[in-house]
Parts: sequence; C-alpha cells; structure tokens
Amino acid sequence: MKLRTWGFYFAEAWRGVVGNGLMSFASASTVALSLVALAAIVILGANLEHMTRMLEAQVQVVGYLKPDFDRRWSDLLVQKVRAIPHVTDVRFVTKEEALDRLRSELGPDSVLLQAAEDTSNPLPDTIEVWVDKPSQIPGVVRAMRESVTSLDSVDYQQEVVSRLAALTRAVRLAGAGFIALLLLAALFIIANTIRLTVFARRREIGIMKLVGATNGFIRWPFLLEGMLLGFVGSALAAAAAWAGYRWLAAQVALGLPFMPILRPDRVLLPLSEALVAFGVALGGAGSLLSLRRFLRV
Amino acid sequence: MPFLSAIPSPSAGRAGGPSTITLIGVSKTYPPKRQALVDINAHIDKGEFVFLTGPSGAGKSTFLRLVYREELPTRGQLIVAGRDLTRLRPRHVPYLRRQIGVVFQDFRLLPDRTVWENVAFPLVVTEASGREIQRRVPLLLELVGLREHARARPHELSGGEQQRCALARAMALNPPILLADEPTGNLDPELARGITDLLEEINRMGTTVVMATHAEAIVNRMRRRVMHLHAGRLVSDEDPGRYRHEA
Ligand SMILES: Nc1ncnc2c1ncn2[C@@H]1O[C@H](COP(=O)(O)OP(=O)(O)O)[C@@H](O)[C@H]1O
Ligand SMILES: [Mg+2]
Repeated sequence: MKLRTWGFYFAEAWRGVVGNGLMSFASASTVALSLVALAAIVILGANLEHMTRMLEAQVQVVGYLKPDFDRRWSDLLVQKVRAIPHVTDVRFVTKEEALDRLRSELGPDSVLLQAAEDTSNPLPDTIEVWVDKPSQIPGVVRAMRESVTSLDSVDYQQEVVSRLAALTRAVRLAGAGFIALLLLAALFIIANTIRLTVFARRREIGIMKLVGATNGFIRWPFLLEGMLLGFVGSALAAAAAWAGYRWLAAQVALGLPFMPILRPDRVLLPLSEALVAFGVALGGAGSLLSLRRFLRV
Repeated sequence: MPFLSAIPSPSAGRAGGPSTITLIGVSKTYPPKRQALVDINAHIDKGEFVFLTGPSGAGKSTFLRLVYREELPTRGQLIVAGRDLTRLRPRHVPYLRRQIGVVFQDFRLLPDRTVWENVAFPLVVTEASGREIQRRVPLLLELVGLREHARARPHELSGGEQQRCALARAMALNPPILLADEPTGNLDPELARGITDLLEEINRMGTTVVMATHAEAIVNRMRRRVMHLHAGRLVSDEDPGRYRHEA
C-alpha cells in the first residue's frame, strides 16, 4: 500500500484520538488497568510455579539411618529403595559428605560448624530419595519404613509441594476468570470509543463511500485508532508492571533472601512484549467490533 | 471475448455503456409501503443532459439514489455504467461509485478541510498517486474557478463557491456520469446560473449529466431533455422539453 495512504490513515486515526480526548483517555486507562491486573496474575503464577519446580527438584524424601548402620550394606540399601515403585533416584550420603555440604552452605566461619568439628561429627548417614510425583510420597515412605530396618526416621515435604501446586492452580483459575471479565470490559470500552469516533465522523464516512472508497480503506483509520489506544494502554501497563515487580523483587531480596523468586528482567521482558502485542490486538478487535455494523454499504 | 462482441445484440449501443443509465420496470417502495417510484422505464444515453423534474416528494432523489446505488430497486432492472445494479455485489459498489460524480443541494463538504483537501478527497481515498493529485486538483479548481480559494475552508466561501467546490470534487475521478440533486436549491438565481453553466460545460466535455430540480427558469432556458415525475410515476419524457406544472 502507498505511503501516502498510510499517512492519511494515521492522520485520520490521530484526529479520532484527539477529537475524542476524554473517551480515548478512558479507554486507554481501562486497557492499562486490566493489563496491569493481567500482569500481576501472570507474575504471581509464574513465581508460584517456579517455587513448586524448585521444591520438586530438591530431594523429596530423606531417610536418616541409625547410628549403628554398617556401611557395607549401603549398596544393597540403595538397590532396595530404588526398587520401590515411583522412586526415580536414590543416593546414599555419608555423614562426612553431609558435613561438607553443611560447611559449604554455612561458610567457613560458622559457630555451629566449629561446635560440630570440636566433637565428633554428629550427623547421621542418610539416603536421599526422589519420587516422580509429590502425591506418591506417602506410599514411598511407607514402603521404605517396611523394607529398611536400619531406618531411624524419615523427613519429607509432600505437604508443601502439593499445597503450592494447588495454590498455583487456584491463582491461575481465579485469575483467568477475573482477567476475562476485565478484558471484556476493556474490549467494550474501546468498541464504544471507536463507535463515538465513527459517529462523530459519519459525515466523512458517508462522503468516503459516496466517492468510492472501499470498506477496507474506510476501516483502517478506525482500526489504527483502536490499536493506538490499545498500544498506549498496554505500554502504561508494561511500565507499571516493570516498576512494580522490580520494587517487589528488591523488597523480597532484602526481607526473605531464601525465597526463590524469578529475576525481574527474565519475567518482565517477555511479559512486556506480550502485554503490548495483546493490547494492540485488543484495540484492533474493539474497533472491528464497532465497525461491523457500520460498514454495510 | 471478441467473438461474442461481434454478435450484434438488440441493445447494442444503448444499454451497457460506461456513460449510460437504463431503467427497466423499476419500482422502489420504502418500508412499510411508501411507493417512491412506480414502474419506471427510461434510458439515458452517453453525453445526454437530462432534467429530472417534479414536485417535492415526486421521487427525484430516490431516482438518483438508485442510480448511485444508495438504494436498491424493489422491482425491475437497473443498468448503470455497464453494471446490473440489482446483481452488483456490495464489495463492487465502490468501483461503481468511482464512475459517478454526485452533488447535493447541501454541498456535503468536509468543514474541517480546505477546498484543496475537499477536492483531493476522492483521489486520496481511491489511492491515487501524489503526482496524480498534484496534477489534477489545480485543473479541477481551475474548471470551477476556485484557484484562489484553495486554502479556504468551506465556511469561508459563499454558497455558490461551496457548490462549485462540491462539483470539482464530484469531477475529481473524471466520472462518465454526473448526478446533481437540486444543486441550485440553496442558491439565488445569479449563482444558480453559474452552477448550471458549469454543468453544461462538464456535459460538453462528454459527461452524462442528470440534474433533479424544480427550478422552472433554468429548465425552460436550457431546452434539454426533461423527465417529469409525479407521485413516483414518469409522466412525461420530452427532448427538448419544458417545465411542467401539472401531472
Ligand atoms: N428513506 C426513506 N424512507 C421512507 N420514505 C422515503 C425515504 N426517502 C424518501 N421517501 C419518500 O419517498 C417519496 C419520494 O421522495 P424523494 O425521492 O425524496 O422525492 P423528491 O426528491 O422528488 O422530493 C416521498 O414520499 C418521501 O417521503
Ligand atoms: Mg429530493
């Protein structure tokens, strides 16, 4: 299409935005608000999923062995546990290894560590067990208790993982419903804004039709106007999400340093792109909605 | 298909040309049952100048609206610029409209645009090239004598000048057919004369002109074909004709 034609389209779209200032402002703000809500829910959901995955990747069941456990039996023990259904991996960890790990986690100057080294190593030998699904953990634990007599106690975190997974699902579901409503509202307010523009310019549209403009041609400026509103709204939303999540991530890093949250730039970059694309599409859809009836010849 | 066009058809040279209008048994009833036109048969040939007369409500505007396909006939067949309008697809309507210039009593100019922009409007919306626009608009302004007013807005012009601007716009795409619906209705006799002179000049250059009017003086002075409508019926069609007061 000709450059001059695009110039005309944009000039017309701009005429619409400015000529309808208040409604344009209202619709861009509605888009911004609903997309901010969308961004918040997406970010929350992504973080919950991230936490779930981190926890799932960690050892799911830890069996502490009795102090008198004879290490010659360790291979046999590992084989036995590995044979339990739903177990994906098993590792035998000696108490020396465990102490090394602790040392590297706590740093060389830890008081706790010095106490441990002064006396003999107080840690027990352990076996670490990975299970394919969190829901299978209780069964695996029961089987371990039955077949491994040298087991002292068992630790597992199935509760946390499955609660987190349930929370993620709930947030996603409630979020989806809420967002669907907000987006519908945004769509309709855009459609209404464009309808006002169309109404304000019905004379011009009439003349365009009279002198032989095609519907496609007539439609473009309004389509652009809607997309422009969607763009402004979604850019505002992206900026708000950007500032908001960075601030939040900084707060979390200070207050809850062990909380595994996603790095802001890793979330925000793809999220902003998606928000803007979505906002523009929303704006375009809104104008098409209001033009459908108007453009019958 | 040259072998087809070699076969002489009964209507050859009459119906179907780019500048002709043919109505065959055309009726138009507005809902619920206002009969605006009743069984009209007429043919307007290339290069003709036709007055469409009749009292208010006779159906003149409806006649013109059917020709540029603002409305569809309720019955009958209508062939304009080589197209059967009863079968023309909606998406082809814009291309029909490019063959037909239209002017109205109320000018219908865009108030927030200059004379130049108003005249260029059909060229812009049909995606003419910039060069074409720069070449054509001055010629059109010259034709209607508005060269000096290119930058003026419509409200800064007199009624006669506004109508001339509208005429320049109607001629922007160089259409073979020009329709005018009471183009002098809002103008005093002096200015009205200027407009009809202009229409005549446009007609002399080969454009078929149909002008709806009840300006008796103009019709009687020009001695052209007169189609007289009364209550939706074509009650007389004389060439040359005079203005009729009675049905
Ligand atoms: N859109 C319409 N809906 C209903 N009736 C109409 C419409 N347009 C015109 N009419 C009626 O059709 C008749 C012819 O109108 P019109 O073609 O405007 O006549 P004219 O232009 O000769 O004054 C009139 O009775 C008018 O009231
Ligand atoms: Mg009329």
